[in-house]
Amino acid sequence: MRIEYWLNGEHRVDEVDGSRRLLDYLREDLGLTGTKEGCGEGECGACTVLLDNKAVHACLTMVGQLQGRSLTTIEGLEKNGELDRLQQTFIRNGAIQCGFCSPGMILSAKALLMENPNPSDEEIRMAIAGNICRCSGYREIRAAIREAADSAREEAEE
Amino acid sequence: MREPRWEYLQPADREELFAAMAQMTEDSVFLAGGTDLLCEIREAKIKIDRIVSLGLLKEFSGIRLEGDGIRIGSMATHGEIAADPSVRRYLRALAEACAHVGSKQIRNKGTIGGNLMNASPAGDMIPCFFLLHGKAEILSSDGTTRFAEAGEFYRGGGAPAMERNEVLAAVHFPVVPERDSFFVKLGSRTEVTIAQISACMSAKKKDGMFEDVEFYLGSVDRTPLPVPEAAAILGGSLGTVEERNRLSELLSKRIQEIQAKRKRPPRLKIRESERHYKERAVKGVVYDLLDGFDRP
Amino acid sequence: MREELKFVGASLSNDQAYGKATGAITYCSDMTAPGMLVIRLKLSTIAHGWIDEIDIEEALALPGVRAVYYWGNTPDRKYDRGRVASYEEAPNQERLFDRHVRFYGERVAAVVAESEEIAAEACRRIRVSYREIPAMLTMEEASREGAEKIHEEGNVYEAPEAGWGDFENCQAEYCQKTQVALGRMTHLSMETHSCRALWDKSSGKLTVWTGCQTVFGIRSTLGDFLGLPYSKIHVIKTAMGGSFGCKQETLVEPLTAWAACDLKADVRLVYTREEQIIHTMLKHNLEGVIESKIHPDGKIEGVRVSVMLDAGAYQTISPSYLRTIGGKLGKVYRIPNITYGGKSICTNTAVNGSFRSWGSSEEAALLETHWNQVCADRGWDPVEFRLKNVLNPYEQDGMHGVTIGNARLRDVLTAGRERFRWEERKQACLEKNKAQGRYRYGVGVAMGSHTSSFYPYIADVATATARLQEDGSLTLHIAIHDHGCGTVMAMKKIAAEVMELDLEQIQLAEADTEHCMYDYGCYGSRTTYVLGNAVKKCCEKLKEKAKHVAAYQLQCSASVLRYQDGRFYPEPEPERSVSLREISDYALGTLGEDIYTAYTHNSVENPGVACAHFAEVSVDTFTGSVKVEHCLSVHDIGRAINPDLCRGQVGSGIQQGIGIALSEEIKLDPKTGEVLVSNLKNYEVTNACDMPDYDVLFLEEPDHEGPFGAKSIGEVVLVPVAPALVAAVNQALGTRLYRMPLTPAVILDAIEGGHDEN
Repeated sequence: MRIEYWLNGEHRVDEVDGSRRLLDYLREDLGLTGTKEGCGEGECGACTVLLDNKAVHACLTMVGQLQGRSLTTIEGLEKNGELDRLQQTFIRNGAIQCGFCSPGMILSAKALLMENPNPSDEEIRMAIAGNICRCSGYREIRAAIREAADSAREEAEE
Repeated sequence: MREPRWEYLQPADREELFAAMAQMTEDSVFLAGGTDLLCEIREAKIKIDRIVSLGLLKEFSGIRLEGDGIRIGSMATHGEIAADPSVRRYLRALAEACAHVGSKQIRNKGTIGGNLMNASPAGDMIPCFFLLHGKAEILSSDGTTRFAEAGEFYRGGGAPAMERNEVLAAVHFPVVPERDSFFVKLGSRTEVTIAQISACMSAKKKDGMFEDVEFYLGSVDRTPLPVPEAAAILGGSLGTVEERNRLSELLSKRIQEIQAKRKRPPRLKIRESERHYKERAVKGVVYDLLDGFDRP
Repeated sequence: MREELKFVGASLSNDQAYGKATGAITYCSDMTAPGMLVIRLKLSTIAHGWIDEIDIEEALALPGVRAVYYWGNTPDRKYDRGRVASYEEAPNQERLFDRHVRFYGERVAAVVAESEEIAAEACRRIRVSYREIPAMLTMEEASREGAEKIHEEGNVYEAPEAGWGDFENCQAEYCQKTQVALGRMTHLSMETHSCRALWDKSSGKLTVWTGCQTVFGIRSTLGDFLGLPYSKIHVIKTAMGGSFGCKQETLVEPLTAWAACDLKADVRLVYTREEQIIHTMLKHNLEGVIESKIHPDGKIEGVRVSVMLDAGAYQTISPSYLRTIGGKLGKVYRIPNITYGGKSICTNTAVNGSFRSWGSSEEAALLETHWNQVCADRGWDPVEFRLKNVLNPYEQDGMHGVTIGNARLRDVLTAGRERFRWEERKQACLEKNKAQGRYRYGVGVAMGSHTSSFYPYIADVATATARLQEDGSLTLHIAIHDHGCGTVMAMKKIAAEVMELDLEQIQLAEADTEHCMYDYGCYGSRTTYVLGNAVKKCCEKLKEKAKHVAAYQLQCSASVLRYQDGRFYPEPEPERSVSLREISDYALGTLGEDIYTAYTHNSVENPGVACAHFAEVSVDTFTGSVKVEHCLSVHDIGRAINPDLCRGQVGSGIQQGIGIALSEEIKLDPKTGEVLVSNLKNYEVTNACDMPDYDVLFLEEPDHEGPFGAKSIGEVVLVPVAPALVAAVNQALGTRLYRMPLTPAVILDAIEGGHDEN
C-alpha cells in the first residue's frame, strides 16, 4: 500500500507492507538504526519514537498507521549539525552510559517538554516511567531533562 | 518491495469501512491502537489474513458532551481520555484508570475500544465501563447502530457479544453531576504495572456522606465483580475504619470463592503465598480507593 | 604533570556520547551489509530428554534459507563458555547442538537465512519429536541418590572445603544459624546478545564482532573449536549495551562463527529478549546456611558457610563461582575460624552464570543477612557490631594470605552512619511503629568489599602501546571492553592528564585482537586499576622518549627539559620550546626514529574496595509493598575518574540490589521447567517512578598504587544493597524473612501467618 507521511520533517511517499512493524521498517528498510529493539513488546521503551509529537513504541506500531502523520526518530533531533538541547544536556549530565536506552529516553523527554515546558519532578518521572535504564538510577537522566526545561524557559524569557 | 504479509486496509469513511468489513473473514482483525494486537502477533497467538485499521475514521475519534452524556469514540486513546476536562470532571474513575494504564507510550496509542474489545481480565477500563453505566455504540456494516450496556456487552462472560459484521464505534457514559467516582489499582510497581486487583466506586456525596454507593472489583475474575453489599456497608457514612475492614473481609471472601472455583491456579502463581495474595491485599485497595475518593 | 588535575575527577561525559545521543553509534545488532545472513534459533519445549527425530526438510525448502543446523550436521566437539584464557581448564560440557536436551529452552536447531522473517518462519517449520526422561528441576531432586544423570560426570560438583582454624571445636557463647535463599534474576542489559561473523574468502580470515568482555578469550575458544590458527581469527569488541556479567561468557560466538565458516559467509545473530532470558544465562539461585559463634562482647570467633548453587543445565563457571564465594569470606571481617563448603548442582533448568561482582553480592547476601539477624536477636546495633569486627587497612585476607590494601572498611561504616543519620532514623522508625499502623518502618545496613584486580588468583597483566602521531596527537591501544560505564573515557582522561593534551588529541579504540596486545578481559573490576595503570605508565614512558628526542633537537641535556601542555622547553630558556609535532618531525625526518612505547603492567597489588549501604524502608502491611524511603551508598573508591558516571553506576547497583531483595524473579514452572517470566511484562524492574531517593558518598583517599589513586566501582555498587534492604524490612515487621526476593506476596504471607517455607 501507499503511505504518505512526514519523517523527521520531510514529506515521504512510500510503498509498504502496511502491517510491517514500524521498528523493522525504520531499522531495516530505511537504515535508521537509532531506534532500538529491547523487548519487542512495549515494556522497555528502547523503541520509543514520536508520532504527531507523542511518544509511542515503534515495536507496537504498524507502518500503515503512519498514514498522514508525522514521525520523529532520534536521527531527526539534530538540526543542521546542531544537537537538540536535550541531547546536549544528556551528554553534559553524564546521563548516557551504555547508550542503548538513550534514543528512546531522549525522545520521551522531548515529547514531555513539547507538551509541558515546565514539568515537575513527578511529571518527569511519569514521562520516562516506560523507559528502562539498567545502567543508572535515573537521576542523571532526570537532571538532564530538568536542565533542558529550565534553560529553554530562561531563553524564552529573554 | 517485499510481499505484504496480510492485506492491510484503512477505510477513511463509512463506505470504505463497510466495504472492508464485507471482506473480513474469521481470521481478519480490526486494528485500533495496536498495543494489544502487535503483542499477540509477536507471541504467534492468532492467525490473521487481513487487518482493517480504524485509524482514519473521524467518527470513531473524539470525546464530546452529547445531550446528558459523554460520547467517547472507540479510537480515543487512554491519554486523550485522561486529559479530557469533561471526563475528569464527570467520569473521574475513568480518567484515573486511563491515566495509569501502562506507560505514557501505551497511553498515547492504546484505545478504549481496543481495551474493551480485548476484554482482558486485568483490563483497567472494563470495571469503569460497568461502574459508570457505559453503553457501547455498535455500528453494523448495514449502516444500523445499536447500543449495549456493559452487562449485555459482556454477557458471554468474557469476549464481547458482537457479530462479525459489527464494529465498536464509541462508548457513551451518562453524566450525573451529583455523583463522583474513583478508581485504584494495585500492581507490583506503582506505575507501569499490570493490575493484580483494581477497584472502582461511585457515589452521591451528600453532607459529606456517601449515598447510593456502587462498587466494582476488577482483575479478580473473568469480568468485573459487582459488589452490591458496598452500598449497605458504606452508605450514609464516610467509610470508617470499621466499615472499610468489613468491606475488605467481604471482598476477601468473594475472592477466595472465585479462586476455589478455578480449575487451575494462574500459571505465574507458583507459591501458596502468591495464590493467597489477592484476598489479603484487597484491604489495601479498599483503603486506597476510599482515601482517593475523598480527595478532591 | 600539572599540579591540579584537569581531566581526572571532572565530569566530562562518556566516550561516544555523541553517537549514543544521536543514534549514530553502531551496536552489533545495527550492523548490516549486502548479502549478510541472519540466524534464528529453535529452542526445546521439554526440560529433559532426547531428540528422537528432527525434520528439517520443510525448513530447508523455504526460499531464502541457506542452512539448518542441528545435532546431526554439526561437530560433536565440546567447548566451555566460561573459558577466558587459552591456558584455563574448564568443564567443557557444551556442544553447538546436543541430542541430549537438558533444559526447557535449550537450542535444538538454528536456521541461517536471508532475512529475520524467513529464518523465523523456517524455525517454525522444523519438526522435533522428543523422548522425555525425568527432569530434575530442583537441586534437591538432582542431587538425590540415583538421580538421572544430566552429564556423564554426574550432577554434583563438590567444592573442596576451604578455610582456616577449627570452627567445629571453637568455643563461644552465642551460636546462631541462618538460612538464606536467592532467586533467579535476569541481567536485563538493555541490549540483548548479538554477534556477527564474517568469513573473508580472499584472506581466509574470520572476523567476529561481538559485545563482549574478552576478545582474546573468545578468539582462543573459537580457534580451538574451529581448528583455526588464532592469527586467522580477528575478534573485535563492538559497542555494548550493558552486560552486568551476561556478556562475559562465550555464548553467541561459537554458533555464529561456525555458520560463517561453514557457509563462507557474513552471518549475524541477534537474540530476542525471550532468548536472552531463557537461553543465555541467569543469575544463580542458591541456598545458603550460615552459622556463627560469637563472644558476648560481640567479637566473632568462627563462621561456617555452606552453599548449594544451582548451576542450571550446564556447570560452566558455577564450580568456580562456588569456590569464589567462599574465597571472599576473609575480606571484610577478622574471623579466627572459618569453614566453607558447598556444591554446585546441575538441574534441568536454564543455565545460570556470571553476575556483577561474581560472588561478592552473594557472599554479602549470606553473611550480612546473618549478622543482621544476630544483631536483631542479641539487641546489638548492627553498625557497632561490624565496627568491632572489620579488618583494618592492610590486614591480611585470611583466605589468600594477601593484604587487603587500603580497604577502608571502618570508614565506610562511620562516615555512612553519620551521613545517613543512622541513630536518628532508627529511633524515628521505632517511634512510628509504636502506632502499629498500616505502614511500618525499619532501617538496615550491610557492607562488603570487592577487588580491583585479579592478583593473586592469576597473573594480572595488561599491556598498553602508544605511538606519537606525526601531528603530535596520540594513539593508544589497550584491550578495553567498555560496558558503557565510561572506562574508555577514564583511560583517555588518564592519558590526557599525563600528556597534558586535550581529550580530542587522544585516540583510543576498544579491544581488537589485531590492534591490541593481550589482555585477560574485563573482569573483577580490574579495568581502571590495572589497565589504567598500564595506560598511565605507558604514556609516562612515551613522554620520556619524546623528551630524549627533544634533547637532541634542542641540543641540551634531557635533565633540564620541562614539559607543559604538549611542549618541551629547557628550564633556563623557556622560549626555546618544541611541540610534540616538531619532535615527531625531527625523530622521523632527521633521527630516523619512531616514537612509540609498550608497557606491560603486572599488578602485584589488589586493593580491596569497601562499601556500605544504609536503607530506610516503609512496608505497607495491607498490600505487602515495600517502599525504599531513602538509602545511602558509601564507596571507598580511591579516586573517581568519571564522577558523574560513577554516581550513575551506584544508581544502577541500587536498582539491581532492589531487584535481588524485593522484586525481580525469573520464575520457572515447577512441573515443566519452562521459564514463566520470559519477557519484561511480568518482570517488573524498578523504573523511574519507583526508584527511591538515594545518596552517594565517595570516600576519596587515593590508593598509592592506583592510577591517580583510583580503585574499582563498577561491581561493588551492587554488593551490600540487598542485605541492607532485607534487614530493614525485617526490622520494620519483626520478621525473619530470608528467601529473596521479598515480594509483596511473601511479605503478606509472613504477616498473616503463612504457607510458604521461610
